[in-house]
Amino acid sequence: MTALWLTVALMTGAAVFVVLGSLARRREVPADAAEADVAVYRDQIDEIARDRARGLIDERDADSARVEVARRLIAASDRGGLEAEAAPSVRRRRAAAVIALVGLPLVSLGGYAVLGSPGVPDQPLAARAKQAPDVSRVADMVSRVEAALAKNPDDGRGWEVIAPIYLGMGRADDAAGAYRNVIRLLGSTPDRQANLGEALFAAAEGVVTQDARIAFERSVEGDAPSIKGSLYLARAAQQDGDLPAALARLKTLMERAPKDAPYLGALKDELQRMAEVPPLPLPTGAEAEALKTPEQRMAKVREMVDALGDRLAGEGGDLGEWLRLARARAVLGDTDKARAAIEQARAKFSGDGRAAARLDALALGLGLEGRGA
Amino acid sequence: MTIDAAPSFPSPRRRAGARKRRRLALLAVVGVVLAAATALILNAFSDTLVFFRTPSEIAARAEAPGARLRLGGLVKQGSVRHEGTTTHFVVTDMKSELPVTFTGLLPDLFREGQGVVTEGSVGQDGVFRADSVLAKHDENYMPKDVADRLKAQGEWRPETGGAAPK
Amino acid sequence: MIAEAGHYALVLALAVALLQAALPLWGARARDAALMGLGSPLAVAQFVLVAISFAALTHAYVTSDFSVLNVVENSHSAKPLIYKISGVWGNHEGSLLLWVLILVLFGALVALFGRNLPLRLKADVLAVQAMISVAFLLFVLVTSNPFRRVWPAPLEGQDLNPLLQDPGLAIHPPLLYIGYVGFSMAFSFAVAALLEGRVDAAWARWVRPWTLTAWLFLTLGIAMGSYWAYYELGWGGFWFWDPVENASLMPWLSGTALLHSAVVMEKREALKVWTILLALLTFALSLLGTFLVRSGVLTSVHAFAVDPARGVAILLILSVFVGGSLTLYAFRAPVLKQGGLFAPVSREGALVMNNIFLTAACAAVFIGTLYPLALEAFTGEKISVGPPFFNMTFGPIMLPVLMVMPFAPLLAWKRGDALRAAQGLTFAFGVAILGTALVAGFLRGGPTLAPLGVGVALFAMVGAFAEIQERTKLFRAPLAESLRRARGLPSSAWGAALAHAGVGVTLLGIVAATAWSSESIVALKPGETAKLAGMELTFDGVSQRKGPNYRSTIAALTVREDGKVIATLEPGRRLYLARNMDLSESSIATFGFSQLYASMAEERDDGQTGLRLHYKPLVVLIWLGSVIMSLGGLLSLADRRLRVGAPRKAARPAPALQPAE
Repeated sequence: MTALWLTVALMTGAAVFVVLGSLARRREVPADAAEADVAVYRDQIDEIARDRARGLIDERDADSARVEVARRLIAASDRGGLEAEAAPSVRRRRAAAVIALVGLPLVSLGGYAVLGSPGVPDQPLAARAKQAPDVSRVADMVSRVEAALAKNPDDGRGWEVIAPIYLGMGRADDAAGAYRNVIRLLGSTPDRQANLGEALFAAAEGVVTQDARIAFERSVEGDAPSIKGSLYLARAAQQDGDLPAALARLKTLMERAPKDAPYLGALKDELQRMAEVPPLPLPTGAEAEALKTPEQRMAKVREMVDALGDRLAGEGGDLGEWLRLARARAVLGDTDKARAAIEQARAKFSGDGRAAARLDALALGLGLEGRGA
Repeated sequence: MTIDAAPSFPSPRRRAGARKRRRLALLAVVGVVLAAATALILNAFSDTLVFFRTPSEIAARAEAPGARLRLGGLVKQGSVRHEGTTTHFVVTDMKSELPVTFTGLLPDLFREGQGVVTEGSVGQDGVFRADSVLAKHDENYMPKDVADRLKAQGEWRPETGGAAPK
Repeated sequence: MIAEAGHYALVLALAVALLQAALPLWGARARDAALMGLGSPLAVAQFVLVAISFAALTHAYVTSDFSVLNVVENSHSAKPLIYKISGVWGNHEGSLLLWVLILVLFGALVALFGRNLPLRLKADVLAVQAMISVAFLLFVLVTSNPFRRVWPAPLEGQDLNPLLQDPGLAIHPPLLYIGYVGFSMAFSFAVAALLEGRVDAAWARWVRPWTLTAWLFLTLGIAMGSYWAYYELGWGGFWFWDPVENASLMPWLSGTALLHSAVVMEKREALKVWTILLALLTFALSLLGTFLVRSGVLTSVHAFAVDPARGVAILLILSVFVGGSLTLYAFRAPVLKQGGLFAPVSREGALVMNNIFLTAACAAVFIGTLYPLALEAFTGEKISVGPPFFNMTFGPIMLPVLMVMPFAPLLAWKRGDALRAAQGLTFAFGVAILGTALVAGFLRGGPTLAPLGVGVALFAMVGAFAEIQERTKLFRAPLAESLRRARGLPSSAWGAALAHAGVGVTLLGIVAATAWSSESIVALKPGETAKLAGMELTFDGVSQRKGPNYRSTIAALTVREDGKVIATLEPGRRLYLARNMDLSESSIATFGFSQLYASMAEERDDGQTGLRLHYKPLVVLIWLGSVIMSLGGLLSLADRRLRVGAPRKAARPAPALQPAE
């Protein structure tokens, strides 16, 4: 702010100085004004002489042209005496100086006072990206947008801006309300419906409620169904215990996804989550203390996994153990053994639809089958 | 227009005469050119003026078949059909509709639900045969009453338009 | 801080302009050298301030400072740097700021380089320039302020209209504006002359460099705009008689007339009153051009009602400057002394013809452009005046200009010999007849008048150099003698010849590209081939690419002639993400002066892709001719006579001409 006022003062001062400096400069009594005209006509006469010398015009033309220009030359010289400048007047100069000294700052500062916003700092994008989103500023911005929306509740874009911020701040109910306004004011799109559903899901603390389900179902209608909507519908099916339906949804998403789709990772995580693999019991306590290096730890894990594999192959086990084995194998990089474990488990639990769905989900989620394979 | 011509002859009377004659000659030439240009412009106007109509105006006025018109309105949702390089679509102003056929490439901003201006004539069969669909600045050629009606119905989407170039 | 400093600089520039408009004018009336001398330093100060302001706005664009509303509305952080910069003038507010910047630049140039001008004339000119800038600065600050701020700042901008994201359009407006604004110098000189009640040959010489500069930039600007429309709009047309284009053509036509009538004034002191009027009208048309494009009134008269403040301000500025100067003209023109006498057949006579027809052509364009607006404003009836109107009026009116053009330089001043001039053109005439006959004999198709058009173009091109040939006695004297004479010719003679030849070149391009172009609209599947003008274009398929702020779909075409691959074309469509706008991107292959042009419509569900293919013979000549015209203007500008008094002054004993500052 200080820098701005300093600049303003500098510029104004310089402008005033330009006027005063020019007025104060001593000048000779100016020459007669017709001198400039005379110079042009002299040049024209010179030019006629040059053209004549090169033979570009003949003598007769040159003469008549010369006479014509000469007449103008004489007229201009005569005028000279009449147009002598008046003597510089101190009074006029002083008046001009006062106008500059008072009028200039008056107009410029007055004008700027009406038009300018001296309090607003520059906000180049690079500088904004550097500074972390300051909580107080986010809160400040939210309250400003809220004030604007209170005045103009039909501003759909405003609601659309604030909705994700609400969700990020944990105000899921407000976010859901904001998304409802967006849809009412700007129309329904798959993305907006999916966002509404997500907000409702968050508001219900991670349960897909009936309202949320309706929103998600709307989000997958039409030509460009929402990916997010599909994911949540799969979650809803899981929540209802209908694993095959959830799997089917995720499978379709997986098949339709482009190779470099950004949501593939989320999709795989969701599939693995769906398989409900129990964690591998890792060594604890003193046993873990003994394993100093990562290599030693890896070797121990391998040993345990191999033991689990041998045990399952020999005496069999429950589905959780098979899933655990398959995932451990895949994580260790033994994709072939992981695949074999899945196959063996499928054979063992062939009658159980739920088990098959969990196995399929894991195979897909680990990238052992389907497009990721 | 004033063309000044000044004398360089000795006798004042002959000067005045020469000046007058030359001035008259010049004025005559200017007059002839102006008359010719005016005739040309009027003639061109009568041959090339094209009136701007909306579908309901065409329906109301019963325009003579074959008269050249500009038709402006919205491309009706779901009405665009391609057949080789010929396109069939319906122009609507939300009151009346008019089927249009056009052969050629459509401009960049041609799409369903958007404003369009086409030039051509209505055939005997009541189909508007367009020979041009405006490409340049066409997002701006929305007739005001159509725009007003669309705004009233919430169909107006100015964000797909954009400012005129240049 | 920087944005606000720029804003303040602009307000301060207004205050400085007010002083510059008042003090030197007062000085000139009171014959006070001290006050008159204020004009120059104030003009320079004003330029510096507006330049600071412009730099501040550019800085906001380059750093994507979205706290400036203008940047939010017209920029986007992902936009390439060049379009961030060109975005400054790609919108209403910024382009007006550029307009003012160029205006004050011209003022500063007069202040710095107009040392040979009489003190009073210079003071008057700078004061009038300042009045124009007061009006525009007020307009910018009050109705179209580019420094309006938003708080809190949005996170992202709305991007520049994708149509404008093109290198051609990045430099088109500055060129055009230098042209428009340059004519303000002629205007200021004319008003100053009316205030003084005196114009003479010397005045014409002082105005000439400014008019010439404006004219050559306007020529380049129009050509650039035409080329942009040609490749960017995807229709393969180079001139649409669109109001936006007409708005730039009108000042060009009257500016061209002004350039020629000023020559008569400089040499013969004739046509004074007319030249002054042309100077006023040319700038009036430039103002009209600026406002027609900027006010949105072209779209519809109703756009005026959307923003009444702007509309009223525009009408006010137009009526003050046009009305005011014409009123001054009505009162003062009769005071001007009359000049030299000339016969109808003479250089002057030919230039009068040029003026009459150029003015008539300008009037036709004016009526065609503004009549629909007037009709809509008064009756509400919407009509359109399309290319057919302009083709039927503009062409026939310009034809006499083209026919007289080669004759004029061959006629003597005062009283010319038409027969001798015709003899000088025998060769050019022969070339024209031969060309017409050859074209008519060998080329099939095209309108019957087209070979004649080629003849007129050839006549203009070859005839343009008849004066040079005449004056250097080429083919009639020994070659060494001719070369010596050629060196002695003033560069303005070469400039005129070049500019006139450029007109012929442009005409040849227009005739050929209009009469013998071939066009084909096809829908192809990958692997299929279309034929056009003896070439085979194979469609190789479609691919996707990603640009900085757009995604594009590209259709690849291989062009073969006699089985040999001679070019590949990649027309495409770009989807600009920020505005969700879809634009076609044409692709052009140049063979000599001819071009093969392809643009892509849409991919269709049946696997076909719509393509528009053009073959445009000699189309490049249209723009090449304009460049030649501008080069001619540049050569003429380099003529040493225009610098009278400046460099040689020091050698003279009396340093009287240096105006004290």
